Amino acid sequence: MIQTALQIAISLSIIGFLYQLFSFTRKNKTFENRKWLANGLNIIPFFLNTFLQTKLFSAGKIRWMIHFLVASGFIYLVLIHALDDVTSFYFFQYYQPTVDPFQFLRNLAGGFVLAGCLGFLYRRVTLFKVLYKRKIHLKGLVSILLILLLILSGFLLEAVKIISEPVFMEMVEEYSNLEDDTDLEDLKIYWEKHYNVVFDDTLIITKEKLALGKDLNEEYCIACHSPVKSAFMSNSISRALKKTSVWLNRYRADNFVYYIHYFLSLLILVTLPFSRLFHIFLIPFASLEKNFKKELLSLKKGYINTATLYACTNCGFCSDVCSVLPNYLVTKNIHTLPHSKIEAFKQLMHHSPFEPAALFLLQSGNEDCTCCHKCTDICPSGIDLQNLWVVLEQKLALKGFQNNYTYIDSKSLKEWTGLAPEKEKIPSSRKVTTNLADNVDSFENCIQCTICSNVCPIVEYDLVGNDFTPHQVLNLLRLGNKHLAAGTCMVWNCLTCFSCQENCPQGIRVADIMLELRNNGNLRADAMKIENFTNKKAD
Amino acid sequence: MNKSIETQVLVIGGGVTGTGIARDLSLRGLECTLIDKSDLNAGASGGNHGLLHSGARYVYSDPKAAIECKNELEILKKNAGHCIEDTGGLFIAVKGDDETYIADFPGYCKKSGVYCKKIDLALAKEMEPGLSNDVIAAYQVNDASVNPFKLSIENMNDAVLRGGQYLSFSEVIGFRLKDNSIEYATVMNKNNGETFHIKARTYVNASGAWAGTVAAMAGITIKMVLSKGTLLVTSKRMTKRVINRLRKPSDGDILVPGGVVSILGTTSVRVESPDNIYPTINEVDQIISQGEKMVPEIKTCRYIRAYSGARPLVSAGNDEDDRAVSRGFTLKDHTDDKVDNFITITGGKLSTYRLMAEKTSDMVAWKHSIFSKCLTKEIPLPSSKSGEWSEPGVQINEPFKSKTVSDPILCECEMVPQKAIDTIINSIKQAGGKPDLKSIALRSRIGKGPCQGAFCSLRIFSHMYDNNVIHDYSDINDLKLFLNERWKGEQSLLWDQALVQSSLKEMIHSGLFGLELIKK
Amino acid sequence: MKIQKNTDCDVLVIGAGLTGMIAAARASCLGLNTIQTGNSSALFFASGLLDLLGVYPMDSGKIIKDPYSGIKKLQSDQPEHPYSKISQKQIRDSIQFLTNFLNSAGLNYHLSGPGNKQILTSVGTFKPTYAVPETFSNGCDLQRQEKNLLIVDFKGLRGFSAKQAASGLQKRKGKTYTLSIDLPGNKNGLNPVHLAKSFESKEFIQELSDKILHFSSKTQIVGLPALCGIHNSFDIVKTLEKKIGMAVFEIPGMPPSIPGLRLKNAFEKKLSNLNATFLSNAKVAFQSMKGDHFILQAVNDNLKTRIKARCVILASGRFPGGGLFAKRNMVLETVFNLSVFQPDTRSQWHQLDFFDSKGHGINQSGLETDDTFRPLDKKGKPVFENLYAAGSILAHNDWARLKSGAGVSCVSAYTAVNSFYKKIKIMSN
Repeated sequence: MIQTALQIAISLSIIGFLYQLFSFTRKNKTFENRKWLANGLNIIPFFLNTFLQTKLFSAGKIRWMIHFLVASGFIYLVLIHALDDVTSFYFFQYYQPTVDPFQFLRNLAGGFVLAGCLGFLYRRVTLFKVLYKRKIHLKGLVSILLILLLILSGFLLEAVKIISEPVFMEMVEEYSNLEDDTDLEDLKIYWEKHYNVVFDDTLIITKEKLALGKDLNEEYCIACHSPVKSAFMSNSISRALKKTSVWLNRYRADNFVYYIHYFLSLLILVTLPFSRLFHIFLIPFASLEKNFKKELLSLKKGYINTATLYACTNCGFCSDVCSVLPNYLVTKNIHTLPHSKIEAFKQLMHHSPFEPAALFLLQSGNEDCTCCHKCTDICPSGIDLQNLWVVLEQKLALKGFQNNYTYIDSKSLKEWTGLAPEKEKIPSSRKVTTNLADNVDSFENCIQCTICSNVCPIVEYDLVGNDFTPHQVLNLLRLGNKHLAAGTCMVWNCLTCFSCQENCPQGIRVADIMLELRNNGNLRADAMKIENFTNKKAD
Repeated sequence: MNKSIETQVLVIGGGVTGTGIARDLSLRGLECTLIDKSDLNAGASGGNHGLLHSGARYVYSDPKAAIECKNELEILKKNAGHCIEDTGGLFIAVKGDDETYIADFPGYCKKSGVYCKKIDLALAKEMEPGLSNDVIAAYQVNDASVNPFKLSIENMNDAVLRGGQYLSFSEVIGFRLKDNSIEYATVMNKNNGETFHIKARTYVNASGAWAGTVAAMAGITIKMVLSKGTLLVTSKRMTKRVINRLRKPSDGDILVPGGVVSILGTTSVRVESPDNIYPTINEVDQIISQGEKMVPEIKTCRYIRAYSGARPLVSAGNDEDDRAVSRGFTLKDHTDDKVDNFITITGGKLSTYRLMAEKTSDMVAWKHSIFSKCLTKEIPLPSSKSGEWSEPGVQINEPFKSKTVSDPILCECEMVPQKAIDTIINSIKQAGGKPDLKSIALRSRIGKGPCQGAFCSLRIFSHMYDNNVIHDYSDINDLKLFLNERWKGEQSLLWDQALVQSSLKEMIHSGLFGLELIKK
Repeated sequence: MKIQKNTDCDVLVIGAGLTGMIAAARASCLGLNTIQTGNSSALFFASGLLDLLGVYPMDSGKIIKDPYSGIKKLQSDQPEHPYSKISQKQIRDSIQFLTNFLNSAGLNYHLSGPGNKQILTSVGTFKPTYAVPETFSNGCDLQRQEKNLLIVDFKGLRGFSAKQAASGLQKRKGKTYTLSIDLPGNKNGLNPVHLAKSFESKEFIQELSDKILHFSSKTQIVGLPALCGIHNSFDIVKTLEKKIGMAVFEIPGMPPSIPGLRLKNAFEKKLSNLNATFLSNAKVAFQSMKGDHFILQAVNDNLKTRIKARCVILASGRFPGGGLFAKRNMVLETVFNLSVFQPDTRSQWHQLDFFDSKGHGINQSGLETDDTFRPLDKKGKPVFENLYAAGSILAHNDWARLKSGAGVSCVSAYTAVNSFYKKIKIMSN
């Protein structure tokens, strides 16, 4: 039955793998195809990162430590313990799970994983609350809990086996040819003392019996059983369980815990392609992706390998170093930050329904990106985040959420200055704090001297002179055409160098007005985009 | 040998009435020619509030006019919507106003069938935050504002499309009378001094304030009373609606919003001649001191310019107060005066121009023995491109969106681009006129913004030199004339920022260019 | 929250127009610790020409040839005019000081000959002026020259047409040609400052001279709009002259004026070398007197400065500069609320004709002063011991009509600073 379960689990896992790979390649096709060029791979960093997590190490030492505990422990357990039938027994002739150093190392590895998992959990409880809101991802949490349970059940299994009289009796029957009950009693006495087995009947310990037991032990047991002291984790648990041992032994708790432990491993195996653990495979894949040689990068424009999206482990390093983190602190738009954008991106790829307001927030958050490349540089998973944001921008534009300047430019003036939807629909991440453009007093003192336009660096470089200049923007306002004013390139190109304001002989706040108009234009464009999107969906 | 034009009807005077008559007659299939001694709306048609009365203003003094206003407003809103801004209006009374008049007002309105609804003072303040705290009563009415320039241009355009003809700067200098009728009118082109004859079957005198002068040339005496009204243009729109003072008509009691500005008026000063009237400082102060009682900001806001128009009133003999003279119109068939084919239409007001045109055309049609129905009630006034640049706050839009066309803005305040100026220059040339700054200004918004011609005059003038529209040094007098024309409207309200602006104008045109030193 | 700052100085100059600049220059040159407040973009409105007296008497509209003899007449006719408060020598000294100061900043003024020069303007009129920047000098008194002339304009430079400028030369003996240069790519209008900047590139000068050389056989002298470079205009004009082999001169036009910008740059450069402090765009309010010292507060966008000054030069200009403010019925002085000479009622402020030869009454308004330009109170006594007024804020001075703007600025600013300096020198001795 166990065999069947294992086979089923392995097949399910393989199917899962295939499904994921297939679905990634299918999604990739939504963008331009790209030729796979093997010579673009950068092999050495790829290996270093995969096996030693060098990127994580440079990003954060403590987190690397925690991750390393889990990773090294888990890999040891999988290779040496779980797969011992095909690995350990083959490589080590004297291998037995209960013999040192394997018994000790298994406990050590289990301890590593346990400590690491607790570290993961601790971080989720505490660190996620600093500076910006972080969501605790169910996938990650489930993965951690599963592993935690697996390790705990392993320890428990070992502990239960240690104290188990039935297991002892089975072993004695199978591996010894003890002739009489005295011998058995001697062995029992020795095992009670040194192997912590708990026996139902009361045994009287004497020196002679113990010596005899030692001899018997050496004869039949020692080859396969190192003293349980080296199983430092399980042994301590077994001591704690001593009192309940009678009850445990009677119901053969060892069998029960064994099934739990075994099925937990199978569960992990099955969910591997769908859980956070999948990053073990995706991160190397993503590292390969990014390490294309520079000359091939141009081919990658507009292309995104979906698999790399899932390599993200939500570690949050990207957001910690993000250059526009201060923007988030003002706008409170979480989509300003990479860790949130990548989640939203995944959602987009799954064609999950998005509220237009949420799309707008995503777009306006993504627009804040300064392409400083810090997120890509730090990403321990090696995801080319910078490229993701570029692609995200394009994808949002296809949905009708391009940046406002492009959006306004693509509108005819009639559309732009026509009836705009109600302001109430706009999410409140943008604010217009001043009210200069609506207030005639702020610009009516203009004497049309055009000094502002003459000192403007933007006007100077608008060589063909197609655009309105600062004083013309003010005149548009005076003529009651605020929306047209907010739609002029001048307003959007303004560098806020404040030359105009500084030089205005009438003390008009020209640059402040331009900034306000830009904010107004943003609000208006946002509202229009949301309305268009809603209408499109309604059709 | 003088050149001669033949037409069925000659309409004299290019105000709203004249252009309205031209359109009405064209719709009836009569061929007509309209002449004006200067240009469209040069008289009272261009010198008014641009207010379409709901009728409420006249319910007490002139119930007949009130009903006419009410009916005409409905027709115009339906047929000429593109010239009208349906603002709605308020009648408000402030502390110290005649309480009995306030109390009787709804009754009078009801009698004339004019809509008026009493509204709560708090609501009135909410509707118009600019209103004074001293308001003691408020009524809502149906007033609207109209762009009279656009109205005339569109009427004339439609008439021309239907076979009419328009001659600007053509002044009647005499009539040839023969057998109790006019044989022809002698007309002088004021641009080049040429004279010619216009021979028509019927002559319509729609020259407004000049009606007496024109009639005199046919030997007929019409006793005209001319009442000058002065109006102020604010630099911003003060209210959403038309604000009327709830009292018997007096000075400074109407504030009409239009586009981005408001127009405050008016006064009533009797003048001898409709020519060369200008706003005086006393009038301006009087209007402001009255207006600020309705809307306190009137006291402190910036004014762009002031202008005056002469209301043509037909005297009944013994009037002391010109506002008490009926604002109804006078239509006279001069058969009684022994000139059979001559009709004079004068008096009246902008609100009822269509009705005046209808009645006049009826009379013309009767004289021509044509039995036709007036169609201006039914057929909407079409909107044309050439009326566009006369509108404040024009849509400068598309030229700037198409990134290939070269079109610098010459008048920055009102954002009139070079192409518009060129179009206007060409259309003036085609009409046989001589393009100068003044005639361009009449057809566009140039010089009407805060700079009052200080900068735009120079840009447009140099553009005209560039395009060989003008070439002589003596043409510089044109610039002076234009600046003086603007000055007429400025000089009475120069304080605060307006004085800053005009000082700059003095610095440029006198300090640097020394235009005052040029001898004619 | 604005930053608070305290500072002391000998001379506070309120205003950064031509007058303010001259006052600050004089004070700094005399070694006085100087602070200047205001907005120097006012100089964008200055033509760059140094007028002394171009027309006198005003209502005659007569252009005078010798400004000094005109001033002599004015001094005897109008004792209240700013010129009448000082001697001819002081006037000459002050003009000398100004031109020397500007020369040292690299802006050369052409002073040759005693009389007024006639400068062609962009509208074709001639403006009488006393001294012109070196770049204008070839265009002085064009009517009397018989050389063939070419006037160049640039397509898209609004408000300047070569044909228009040439229309003023129709009676001249020599021939006048015009040329309109279309700069590639220009569509919707050039701004003077930006065009002036392009003059500073060698390629542009080359292109320009190539186009002008078509006329080389016909003409000997070339007039350009006054925007031949901002920083080293004289060198640029010289280079161009060498390239085309013709004399070049500039023609002043509507603001923003590049010769004014050159003045602004020259003053700013020199004044910062002389360690004068400039509080840009600061609004100044008089607070109190502390002993002999003025306490004033200057506020701009982010700074509130409390200034303690021994002497204040009020060069805040008339209405455009903000020195005077006109309410509907009254003209006020804005910093000290001094009594302002003005017409009795608003009806006397302006004439019905904009170009009335009598000039507008409002332009006579301003501050009345004693002979050292100290503003007087209603009783005719100086309001403060060390408060001086200079420039267009002075009453009885219709500089636009008399073509005497720069002259009055220069003379009054120079004299005012000198008087204060003399006073403290006597005290310290």
